[in-house]
Amino acid sequence: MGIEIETKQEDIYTALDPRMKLILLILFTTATYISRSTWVLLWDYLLIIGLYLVRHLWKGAWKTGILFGSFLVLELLIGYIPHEGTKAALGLIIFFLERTSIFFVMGNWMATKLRISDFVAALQNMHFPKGVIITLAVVFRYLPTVSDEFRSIKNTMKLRGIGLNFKNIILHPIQTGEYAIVPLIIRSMKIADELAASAMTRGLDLETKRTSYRKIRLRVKDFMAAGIVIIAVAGGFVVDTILRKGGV
Amino acid sequence: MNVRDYITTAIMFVLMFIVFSAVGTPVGMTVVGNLFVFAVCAILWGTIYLLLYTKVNKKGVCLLFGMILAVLMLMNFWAMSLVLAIGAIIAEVVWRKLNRQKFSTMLICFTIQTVFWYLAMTLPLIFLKDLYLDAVPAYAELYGAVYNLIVGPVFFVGLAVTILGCVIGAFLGRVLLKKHFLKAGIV
Amino acid sequence: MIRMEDVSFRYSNSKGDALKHINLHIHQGEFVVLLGSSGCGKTTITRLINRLVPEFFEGELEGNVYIDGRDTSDMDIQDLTGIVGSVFQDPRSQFFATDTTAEIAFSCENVGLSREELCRRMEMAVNDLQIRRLLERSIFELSSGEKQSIAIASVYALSPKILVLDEPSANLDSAATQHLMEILDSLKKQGYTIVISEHRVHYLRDIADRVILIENGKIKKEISGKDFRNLSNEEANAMGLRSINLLSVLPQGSCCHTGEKQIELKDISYYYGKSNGPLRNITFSAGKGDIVGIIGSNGVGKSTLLEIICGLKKEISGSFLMSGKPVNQKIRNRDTFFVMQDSDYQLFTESVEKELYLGNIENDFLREKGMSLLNRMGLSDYLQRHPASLSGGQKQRLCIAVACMKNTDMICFDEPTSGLDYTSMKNVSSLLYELSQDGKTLFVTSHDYEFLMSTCTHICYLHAGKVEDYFEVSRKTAPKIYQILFQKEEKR
Repeated sequence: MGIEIETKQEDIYTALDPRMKLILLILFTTATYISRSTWVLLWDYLLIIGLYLVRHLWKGAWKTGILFGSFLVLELLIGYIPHEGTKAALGLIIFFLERTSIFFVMGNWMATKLRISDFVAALQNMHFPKGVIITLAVVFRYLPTVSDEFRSIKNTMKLRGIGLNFKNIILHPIQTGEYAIVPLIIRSMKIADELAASAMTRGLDLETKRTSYRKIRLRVKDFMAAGIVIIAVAGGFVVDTILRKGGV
Repeated sequence: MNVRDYITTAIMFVLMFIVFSAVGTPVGMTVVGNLFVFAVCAILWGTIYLLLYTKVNKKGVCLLFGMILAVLMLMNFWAMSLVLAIGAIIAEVVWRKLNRQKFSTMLICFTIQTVFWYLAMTLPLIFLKDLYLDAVPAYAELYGAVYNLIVGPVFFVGLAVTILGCVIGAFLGRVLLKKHFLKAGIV
Repeated sequence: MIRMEDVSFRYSNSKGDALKHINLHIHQGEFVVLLGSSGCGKTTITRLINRLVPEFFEGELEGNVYIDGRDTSDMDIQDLTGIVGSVFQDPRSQFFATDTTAEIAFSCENVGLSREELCRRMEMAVNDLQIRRLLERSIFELSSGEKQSIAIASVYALSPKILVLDEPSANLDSAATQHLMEILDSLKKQGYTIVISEHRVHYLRDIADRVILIENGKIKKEISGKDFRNLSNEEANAMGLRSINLLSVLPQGSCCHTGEKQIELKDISYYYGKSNGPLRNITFSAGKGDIVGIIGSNGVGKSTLLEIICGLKKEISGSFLMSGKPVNQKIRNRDTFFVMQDSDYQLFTESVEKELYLGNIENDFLREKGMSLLNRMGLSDYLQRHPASLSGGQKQRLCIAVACMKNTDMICFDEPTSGLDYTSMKNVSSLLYELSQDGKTLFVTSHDYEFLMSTCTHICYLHAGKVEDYFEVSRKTAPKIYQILFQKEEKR
């Protein structure tokens, strides 16, 4: 069966079950949000970069490393600012940036080379309602292309003299907003209709249970991989608590 | 709700999210800005939500929309998702009780969903205050002061501004709906 | 196989009937082409077959439609899933999945087939349509022609008895259109009943069994395949159809050489990312009143070149001269205009009238100019209509009118005639001619051989990121142009 053979040729690391990815995601976000000290944060950051490396996403690992690195460096530098007020304000900003950036970093990790079909198959297995699955699938399908659509609109606005530059936004905000949003909405609605027509004529509306050509099963290595990561993250916490209680 | 409704909801969600990313990033760079970002976004969101509610005028649309947001917010912090899920359920209950055709109903449900997103961003701050203050012992005092400011009066100011933004956005949305989308035959 | 008895239909929001008393009988295995000008009703007929009318596009339906002997009045769209396969016009918005393999599996998954059956059918589709090289790729990377092939494969996997296609070649270049014809031919040989609504009919010349002309919602004429092949271009054009025999279409544009150079590009280079082809050392010049047709396969960088000319993208190196003076990106932005392929991105206001005056200060002169332009475009009755409520062809004409209002010396057009019928195409052609008479220089990218022949004075052939050739359009060079357009697409 030719198709089977082709889809099996994947890295053993990239073939991590999406449910595992989801659990890891929740784990990391919680960990960073409630991390008590910068050291734990650093440890978590290193683990995340590790996640990227394990999937052979070199570019992603590099970019993440730079992002996290700059956050930590900034935090260090802020410590040297004499003025208390600025120090606190800037410190708070960095604090939240360090945590909310997880959203984009982990989102990127999940989304890189994500097959929507794997995602959909996993959700179907978990007995999510069909409507939610369809909606999520379309969100991930449309998200990458909408920026292209908007780019064309922006370009035409520039040529017609109503472009998205500072002057127009400050002087005529509502009008400029209208010019930007209305064609985007009209175009999006048209795409929604065409997508729906195409999907419905191919039977998406049918009551029968959807099958999937992908095999999604939790395998031993999924549990092992997840287990390693959980231990690593928890370990970071434990070590930190011990050091705190024992030391300073 | 049928396939067409799900797809329309998904597309509108993407548009809403794009507005959030585009507007939210410059405005919400600061922690304080984070509180007002929803007010600004709501002005643009009004059109999107109104269009969604008008085109998909069925039971379940508020719940679906809110749940998708909750699922996506799992990438941030599960506590936020919880708040958003609660907001989605409340909005759906209101949606079913009131007359779905009326503008006022749409305005209320839109405001509920936006306000709960605001709460999702701010409530974790309030409840985990001790945790945060522990994390930065070096400037704990000053942080404490700034922090108390944020979770105190500024919280309510932000809440009020967000609601105001929703109202403006909804009315703006109604104007645009009549001016463009009805005439264009989209609705 | 398909029978329509006294079918009339009116869309919900419209005043007139889209179809009036249609009687149509299509036999099993027949290849039927529906032709007619925009808005004549041919798309509506295709929608009757897959039940999108009246389930998706609401309205009042009278009469009976029978598919494979069954009355469709109590059937839903989903009931016809395994019987009718539909392929739509825009390849970009037909995809549900993000990779090709999943898209082919999509329809089988919906029906709930077992995994073994699924894989078997996917194998069959991939083999029969010869698209194995397209497997396991991201949909966003494919060309329009490849996307269209995947769309057909997805529908093919369910082995439907009937295939319905709505202007499938509208967004394809010539090589992809040839490939489409080959696929359709092989499907016909396998016994599929195929119904296509189209404008560009030249590629279907040899495989159509019957051609049906629709006008104003009624069947005007039915022509057998044999008679159709024997039609001359003039006879076809008289019926409002695009030319059937492209080889015999001859250039008509006459050069108004003023000798003055309007614009010069010297060594322009541009590259961005891995996806788009880079442009290297683009050098050419065009004079006042020249209409330059830019041709080349999809993805070579034609649209990018136009964007650079109009100042929407900044060139990496090289220089631009307009009327002998160097111009940078900002000035180009101000002094040029770009009419894009998709009119949805270019209309911003709530009425046709306001659209014309957007970005300009209203005064009497402008108003007069606007009205005369609308008259020429046949849009004067639509002054207060919302631009988004116009038909595709009307929107395109409005965009061109808007372009004329800006009054720049240089205008770029990206595929202005895709999806236009013969009369509209001729309208656009004559309008471009008038613009060039005013001394403007026009750049047009197009795959439309007929249009290029009627309009352009010069051809710029882009290949592998360079200007492979730049020459005048004449009877001598016509075969060369034909050859370039219809050569086989290079295997990637």
